[in-house]
Amino acid sequence: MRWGMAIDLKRCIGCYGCQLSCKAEHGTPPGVFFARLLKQEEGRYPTVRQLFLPVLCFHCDDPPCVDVCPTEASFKWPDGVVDIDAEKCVGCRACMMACPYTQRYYHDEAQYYFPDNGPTPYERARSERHEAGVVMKCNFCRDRVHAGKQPACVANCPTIARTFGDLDDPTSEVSRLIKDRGGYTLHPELGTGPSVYYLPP
Amino acid sequence: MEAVSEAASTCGARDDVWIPSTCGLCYGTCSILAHRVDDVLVKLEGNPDSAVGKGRLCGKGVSGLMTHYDPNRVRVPLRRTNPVKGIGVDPGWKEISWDEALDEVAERLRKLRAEDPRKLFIQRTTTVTSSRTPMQVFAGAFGTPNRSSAGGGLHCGNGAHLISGIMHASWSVVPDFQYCNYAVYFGASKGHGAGHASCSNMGMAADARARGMKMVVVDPMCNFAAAKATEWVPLRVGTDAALALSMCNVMVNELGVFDAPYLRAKTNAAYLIGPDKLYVRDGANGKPLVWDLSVNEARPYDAANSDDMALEGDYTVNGVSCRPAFQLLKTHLAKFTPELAEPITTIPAKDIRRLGTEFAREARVGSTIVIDGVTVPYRPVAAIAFRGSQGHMNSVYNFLAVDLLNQVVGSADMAGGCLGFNPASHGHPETGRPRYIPKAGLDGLMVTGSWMAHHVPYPIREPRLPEELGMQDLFVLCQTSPFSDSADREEMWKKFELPYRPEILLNYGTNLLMSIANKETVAKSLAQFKFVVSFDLFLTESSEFADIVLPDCDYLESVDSRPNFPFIFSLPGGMGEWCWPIKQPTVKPEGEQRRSSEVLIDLADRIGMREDLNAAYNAILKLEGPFRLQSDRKYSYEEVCDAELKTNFGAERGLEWFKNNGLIKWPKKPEEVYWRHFVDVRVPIYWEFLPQLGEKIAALAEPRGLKIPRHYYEPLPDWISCPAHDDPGSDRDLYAFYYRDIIHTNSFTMENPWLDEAARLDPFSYTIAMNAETGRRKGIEDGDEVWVESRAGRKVKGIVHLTEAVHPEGLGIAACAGHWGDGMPIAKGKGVFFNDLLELDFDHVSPVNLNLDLCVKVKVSRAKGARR
Amino acid sequence: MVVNVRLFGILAILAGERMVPFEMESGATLGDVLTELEKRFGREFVDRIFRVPGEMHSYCQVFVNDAQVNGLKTKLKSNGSPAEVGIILLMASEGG
Repeated sequence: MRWGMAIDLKRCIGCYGCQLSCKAEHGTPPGVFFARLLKQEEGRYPTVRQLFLPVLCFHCDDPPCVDVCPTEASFKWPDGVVDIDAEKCVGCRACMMACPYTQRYYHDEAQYYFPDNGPTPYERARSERHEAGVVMKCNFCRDRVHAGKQPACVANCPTIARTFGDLDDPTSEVSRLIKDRGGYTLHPELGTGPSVYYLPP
Repeated sequence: MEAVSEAASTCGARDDVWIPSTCGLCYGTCSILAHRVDDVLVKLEGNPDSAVGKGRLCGKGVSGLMTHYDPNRVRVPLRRTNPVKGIGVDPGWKEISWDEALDEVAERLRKLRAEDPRKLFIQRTTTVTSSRTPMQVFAGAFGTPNRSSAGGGLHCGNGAHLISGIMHASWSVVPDFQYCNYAVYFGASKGHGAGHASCSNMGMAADARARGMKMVVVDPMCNFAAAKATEWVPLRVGTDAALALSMCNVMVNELGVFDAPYLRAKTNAAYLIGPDKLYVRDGANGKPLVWDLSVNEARPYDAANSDDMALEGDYTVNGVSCRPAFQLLKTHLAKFTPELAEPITTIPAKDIRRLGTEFAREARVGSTIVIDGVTVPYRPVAAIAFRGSQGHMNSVYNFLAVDLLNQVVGSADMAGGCLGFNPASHGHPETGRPRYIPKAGLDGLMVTGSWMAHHVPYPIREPRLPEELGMQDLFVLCQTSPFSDSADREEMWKKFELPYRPEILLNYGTNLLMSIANKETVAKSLAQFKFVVSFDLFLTESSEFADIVLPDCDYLESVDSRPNFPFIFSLPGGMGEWCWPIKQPTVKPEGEQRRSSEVLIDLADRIGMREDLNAAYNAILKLEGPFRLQSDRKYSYEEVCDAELKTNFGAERGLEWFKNNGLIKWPKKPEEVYWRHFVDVRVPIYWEFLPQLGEKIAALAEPRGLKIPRHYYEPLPDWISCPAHDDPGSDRDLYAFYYRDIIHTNSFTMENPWLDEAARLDPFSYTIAMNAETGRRKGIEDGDEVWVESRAGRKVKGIVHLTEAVHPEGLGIAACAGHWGDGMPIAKGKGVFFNDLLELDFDHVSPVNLNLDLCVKVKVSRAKGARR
Repeated sequence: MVVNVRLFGILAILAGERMVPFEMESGATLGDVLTELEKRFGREFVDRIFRVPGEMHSYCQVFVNDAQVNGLKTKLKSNGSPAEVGIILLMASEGG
């Protein structure tokens, strides 16, 4: 069992639904994005292409962030999900330096989106659980997945660009898509073995 | 460290519910589920039960709670204490009670109504469609014809809606994503950034791409739709008609491809046209004549078999030489060679020829397809347009030229083609409601079955000396007009002897200073109102001109029985499901906010127009039988909603049923979706009524000193340049234009801190997109702060983002940003206020439909010392 | 038969009356009622109702005995109690 995701760049239109549904699900503090949308340009006018590249933690098979963690706060679940135990995290941020994909965020202190007004009722309900002084990241919406739901970014994507499932099962939809569509990972040369694949645009 | 499941974490809570309702971050109004725990909303998700959004939301929709819980929302009624009004002038707000506020508003409205109800001007934002019904009702009951949307800038706009109405019986058009193989977008982003059926279309467009639909996007900028296109065709801003007409010419004259049976049976292509540009009519019944080849004589269009109608040739009828409209079109198109269009559009002639050829080939003229057991014509090509291409002086021709592509190959409202959004509905199987089907009207031409207002686009009104502030009764092809705020409005009103002047503005949420054109002009007209009352969620720049501000409930605190009706607006087109969701309150307001729908009922009562209001609700909601409102009873808006739902779906399905179930849905039939094949109506490829209309308007306007340029009133579309194209200034070498950003809605969402944060990280949202080579030529680097200056000397400042993804002559500015007021502190100072570059007068609107010209020739120069 | 015409919105204001009863021949049509209204309130009043002579504006909504009707040829029925005709103009434009 190894959770993984395929993101179909042909379907993605860069609507920010992933970045913001993730924020809505987790109530992450300002500046923290477990999911993000990047935009890049390829080519020269007029043969140019704008590419929308949604990113998140790639839940590497051999995660450098876990290797460097001095307190074993960063760890990998048996199902392949890379996670952080906030209790053990001392906020040294070595993992952030180690992650080649910059998908970790340090939460230095409680911050709210209306800085002059303190937390909104939503933030009180949803954000205050985040401890300060620790590193935060995507854990493939572990709570949702355990409750039988898909990760928020997957369930919400208006273009149905994201497929989530078991990479170890060759018959799962995610495995089949990766195989059929020539799914690729970012920076394979690093040997980290990401569990998030992109399907070509 | 096993995570605690969400269910467990809320265990023991008094209150933990998912409430079906409707999004209010844009007019797409997708269906949502609001998760409430202990009276706090903790999450918004799409409602997977609904066909509207299909369980998924865009970035704006999922961020709604940060708008809802914004501490900067207005919570109590306010009265200004400073009588001086102006931009940046502190109104000196004083908190007052609702009773005090409504007493004063009602007293003023009552007096005004007795004096002359037309002096009331009602304005509403388009951001929240649910405001439409109560405002429409209030206007009708009060007796004022003066109502406008977003200040009449209506940038989306008059061309798109007018022509979609006349040609497709719908508010807008979309490719039939399920069957289309080749779609050409002209300044449109349906299925990408666009609002109508927003999230549903995003999914359907993605399915179409995955299926292999080719998408060609004609646009000065490669963003959203163009980024996903098979081919991006950059063109000079505002020259869409030249390209579309040239593609038509390639099809009709170079390739000889057109759908003759469609043109004969479903358009006025066979109607005979005399030398006076008018139909040749039957002497007895006045009906337009066609040439019947089976008997070689002219017959009324409805007396001849369509297969026998001549589309080409020269004929003589009662001594008058005449030709079928299609023959005139064919001849007219001949001048639009790709070689002519190339220097206008900057698109190479070979590409124009190729695009025309591909469109003609992919149309598969003559083919049919079986859908759900029903055989319908199969024309898997669509040409669609929206705000970008029609936001110009030449609004009408630009949009009509694009639609001609569909009409020529017969893909209008056929399988795979260019569809209106649900122009025909047979109603719910149990009640037959709502039922509407377009029908043949004057001269056999189509009259919409449903429309957003009660003044349908065709048959057109007879122009008259204006009684309406926006002069829509003179310029009758205008949907909503910028003349309520224009620089020359007083001059126009004097010219046309308008018998009154507006005195009270009732505003619902519109930020007029930002939504139309330059703020200086709008501020002048706003300051001239004797009294302004504004329903607002936030104190906007325009609220500062209000005398009384009424704090409104937001979408999560409000009720609406018809957030997605009329279906021609934002229900996804194509096969699938009919779906009627409601909007319902999910939490109580935290302050003293009241729902505007209830406040209007209260106001009507205080004014003494309860009977008028109830009559207007009966008429607008088409309430029937026992559910009609009684004249003398005061109803709550919830009761009104209940009556509408019961009228439509039966006594057992009232508001309570919908609150529990969220929505009702039923399958669409091919006879509804591809209704054109089944209904005997024609659409005009030749706008015979246009020259006559031009003469009628001129007869009123020219003796009063307003010249009506007749070349905009020809029956066949032409390419006409904008003032920007003719601007001689050599240092003004770029065409500034604005575009809809995918994470912002008009000027509203910059205050949402999640959306603002995303926009700040986005390379384009808050910057000015300039072609990289153009930048290098000008010595401008990425991140430079620049001034953008128009011919009139209007200036806006912003940060340049150099990109390969914009036409070298284009300057792309996103959304309606650049707030300066303190009432929306998150939004303040973000992005670029494009509209401030726009002039607002008759010289900058389409002289046919009054659509504001949205391109402006500008000079760009580095701001002093500025480098980011 | 008695026909009660109820005017709403601007029409009631212009007429200065909300309820206008007429005595009409049985078999009278909606068109006949409008002719009576013209006699009573003048040409300018009914001009607001008609797009062109003989054809009402799409935004003029007429209800006969609480049911919406479109044609001027619609016959009025009284069934003992007066026939009720309601007229309202919904002329505001739309955008979005």
